[in-house]
Amino acid sequence: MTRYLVRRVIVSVVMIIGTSVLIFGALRILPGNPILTRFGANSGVTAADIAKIERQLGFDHPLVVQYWNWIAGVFHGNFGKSYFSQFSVTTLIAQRIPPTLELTVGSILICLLISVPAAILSAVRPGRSFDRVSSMFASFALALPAFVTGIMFLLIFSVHNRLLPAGGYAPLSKGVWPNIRLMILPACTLAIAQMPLVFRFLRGQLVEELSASYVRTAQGKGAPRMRVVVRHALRNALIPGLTMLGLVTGYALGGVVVVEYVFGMGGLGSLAVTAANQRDYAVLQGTVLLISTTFIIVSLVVDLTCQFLDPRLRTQPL
Amino acid sequence: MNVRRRRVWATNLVVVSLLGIGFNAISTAGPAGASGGGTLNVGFTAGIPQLNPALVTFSVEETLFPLLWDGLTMWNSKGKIAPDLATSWSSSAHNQTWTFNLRSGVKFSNGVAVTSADVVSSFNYYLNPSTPFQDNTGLSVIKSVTANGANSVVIQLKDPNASFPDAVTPVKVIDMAALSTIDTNPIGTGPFIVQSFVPNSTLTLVHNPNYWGSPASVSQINFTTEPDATAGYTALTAGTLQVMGQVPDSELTGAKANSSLKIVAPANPGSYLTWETDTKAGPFKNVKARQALAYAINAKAVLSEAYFGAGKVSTEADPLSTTNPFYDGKLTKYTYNLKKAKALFAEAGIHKGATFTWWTTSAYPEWTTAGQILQASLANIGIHLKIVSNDVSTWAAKFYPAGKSYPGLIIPNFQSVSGDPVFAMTFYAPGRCECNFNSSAIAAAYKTAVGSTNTSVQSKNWDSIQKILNQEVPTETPLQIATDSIVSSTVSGVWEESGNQLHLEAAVIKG
Repeated sequence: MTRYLVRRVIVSVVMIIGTSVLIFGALRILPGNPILTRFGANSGVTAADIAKIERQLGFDHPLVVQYWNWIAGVFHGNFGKSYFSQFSVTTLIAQRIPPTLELTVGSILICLLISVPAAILSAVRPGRSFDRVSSMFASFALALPAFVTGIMFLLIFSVHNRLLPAGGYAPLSKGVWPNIRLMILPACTLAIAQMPLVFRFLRGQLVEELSASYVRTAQGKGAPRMRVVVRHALRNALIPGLTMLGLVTGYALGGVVVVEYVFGMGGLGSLAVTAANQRDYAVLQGTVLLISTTFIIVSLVVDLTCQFLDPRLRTQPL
Repeated sequence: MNVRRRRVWATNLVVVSLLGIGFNAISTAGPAGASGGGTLNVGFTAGIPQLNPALVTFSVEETLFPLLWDGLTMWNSKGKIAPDLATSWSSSAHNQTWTFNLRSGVKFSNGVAVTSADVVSSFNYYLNPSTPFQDNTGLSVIKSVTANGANSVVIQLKDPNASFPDAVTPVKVIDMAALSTIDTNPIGTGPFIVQSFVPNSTLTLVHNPNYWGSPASVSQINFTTEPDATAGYTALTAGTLQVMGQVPDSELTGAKANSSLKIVAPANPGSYLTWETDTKAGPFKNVKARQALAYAINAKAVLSEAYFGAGKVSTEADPLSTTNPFYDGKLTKYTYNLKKAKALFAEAGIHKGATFTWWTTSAYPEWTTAGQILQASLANIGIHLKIVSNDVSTWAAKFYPAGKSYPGLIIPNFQSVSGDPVFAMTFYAPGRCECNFNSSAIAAAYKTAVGSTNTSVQSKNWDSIQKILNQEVPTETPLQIATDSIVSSTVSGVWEESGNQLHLEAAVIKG
C-alpha cells in the first residue's frame, strides 16, 4: 500500500509539472501577447514602444528562463499578476473560486441525489417501465450539450415565466435564498450532463452485483429485498463507482466553463476564457494549473480510497 | 417510507416551492418603486479589467469616466465641449498657451481638497512615457503643465492647437497619493465610488458622499459582464438588467419591436469602418488596386446584411460623415461597380485568379459577414478572397502597430471618434495608420487646421486632407456606423457620445 501511494504521488507530481509546461508552451506558441491585446490596434503606439514594454515584462528573455521564473514563483506561492488589472493571480482566483466551487459541488450533489436512487430502482426491476424511461432519459441527456440545456432552462424559467433570474451569482454572504435562486439553474444544467454517466455505470454495476450468489443467499435467508440491495449489493457496486466519481468531478470542472458562460457567472471558467482571449499569461497559467492540479488530486484521492476500501485492488499492478 | 411520511414530504416540497416563487416575485419586482433612487443594473459583453482611467484597455471602461472621475473638460450630450473641473479656459493669441480655471470646493472621494497641484500631477502621470496611456496622440502636443495659484493651471503647447480643450477630455484628475490602490479603492471626484470590484466580472458603484455636484438619481449601479450579446438581451427582457451597452446590430431588431425597451444611439455618430490594406507592400501598394477594391465593395449589402441597416453608406473613403460641418461634398464616389473594379485591378497588375485574405476576428461576427459579401463580389471578377477568422490577439498581432508588413491582406477595423475632424484625421497622421500610409501633405494640412481658430482656414485644410484620402484610399471606409445601447423603458437620462461611450450619470429609474 505504501509503495502504491508513493508511486501514485510521484506520477501525480510529474503530471502536474507536465501540465505546467504544456500550458506555458501553448500560450507562447499562439500569436499575440497581452501588450498587443491592450493596445489593440490603437494609433499612437509604435513598435519601439511595444518592444520596450515587452522588455519591462521580461518577454524578451529565453522561454526556459521565463518558465523557470514563473514556476519558481509558483513554488513560493506567487503566481504572478494580471497584466490588465494588476491584481495578483491568487486574488483573482480567490474571487472566482466560490461560484465555481458551488457550481461543481452543487451539480455533483444534485447528480448523485437523482442518479443513485434512479439507478437502484432501475437495477432492481430491469426491463420494466421505470428502467426503460430512465435509460431513455439518460441517453437523451448524454447527447444533449450542456449549453443547450442551459439555454432551454433560461427560456422556460427566466424569459417566458420570470421565475428565476437569467444569470449571475450572489455569494452566500448576500443571503442563502439569493444564492440558491441564482445557482439552481446552472447546477441543474451541469448535473443533467453528469447524470447519465453515474446512472448507467451504477445501474450496470448493481445489475451485476444483484446476480451474484451472495445476494441470492441473503434473499434465501429471508432478508428484505431493499435491505439486500442497499446494504449488500450497493456497497459493492459503489467501490468502482468511486472511480466514476473522480471522472465526474473532472467532467464537472471542464463543464463549468460552458455553464458559467451561459449563465454569466463570474467563475474560474470565465476567468480562464477571458485570460485566453486577452493572452493574460499569468492568469491563464495559474487558472489551468489550479484546475488540473485539483483534478489530479481528486483522482489520486479516489484511487487511494478505492485501494483502502477494496483490498483486492491492492494486489493488482498500478 | 409509509404513506403519512410521504404526504408530509410532498406537502413540505410544495410549501418550499411556493415560498421560493413568492420570494422570487418580490425580488424581481424592479429596482425602484418610485421615480428616482434604486439600483441600475448594466451589462456589457466586454469585461472591465481594471479601474485606472490612464490605463484604459477597452472602450467599455470609458463608461466609468463620468461616474468615478472628472477631467478639465467633457463632452456633453449635444456633442459640444463643456466645463467639468475647469469652469472656464482661455488661450494666448496663437493658441499655444492655455489657462484653465478650476472649480472651487471640489474634493476627492476621501475628503481631500482638489487643487491645481493635483491637476498638474495627474497630467504628468498621463504624459510619463512609462504610463501606457492609449490616447496619447492628443497630449503629445503638450510641452509643460504648471500650476498658476491654487485654482488655475497653465498648459504650454509645442505647436498651436485651437481645439486643445477637446484633447484633454480623456485626462482625469486622480489622487496620485492613492495610485497604488486604484484598482481596489480608486479615489476620484465623480458622483460615485467603488463598493466592490471583481475584474472582468462585476463592479458595484455607490454614491460619493464628497461629490461636488448634485447627487446622481440612482443610488447604486451594478455592472456585470455578460457572456455574449444574446445572453445580455435575454437578461434585459427577463428584467435582470436595465441597460445593455454596446449591443451588436443583430440584437437591435428584437429591441425595436419590444415596447418595454428603447434604443440609445449617439446624436452625432462618429464611428466608421476602416478596412485596412498595406499601402507599402504587396498588391495594395498600387493606388489603383485600392481604388479597385473600393469599387468592389457592395456597401449597401454590407449595411443591410452585416449591420442590419444601422448606419449609412459612405462611398468616398472619407472618415467624416456627410452631416459633419467640415464634410467635403465634392469627392469621387466609389459606388459599387465591378466593371470599374476589374479594370482598375487589371491596371494594377491584378488579374483573374489572384487571391487576397480577409483577416478578421470572431469578436465581431459582422466583419465575417461583410467579408463574405466582399468574397462574393470579388468572385464575380475572378478574384478569390480567403476568409481567416482569429481571436483578437492573433488578429491584432498581424498588423499592429503601424509599420508591420502584411501584403495581400484586407483587415476590417473601425474607428470611434468625436465629431471634431481633428480626431478622425489624427488616424492618418504619419506613422499612425496601420495601413502604413504617410503623407507629408496631410501632416502639413493637419497642423495648419489644428492651429487655427479661423473656420475658413480649418475648412480649407480639412478639405485638402479629405481630397488626398479620397484619391489615395489608404483605408476603405464603406460605412458610417453606430454602436447602440438598449435601455429599459423605465430608465431615462442615458445617452451616448459620438464615439459610443455610454453615459449613465444622469440615469433616472421611473416608478
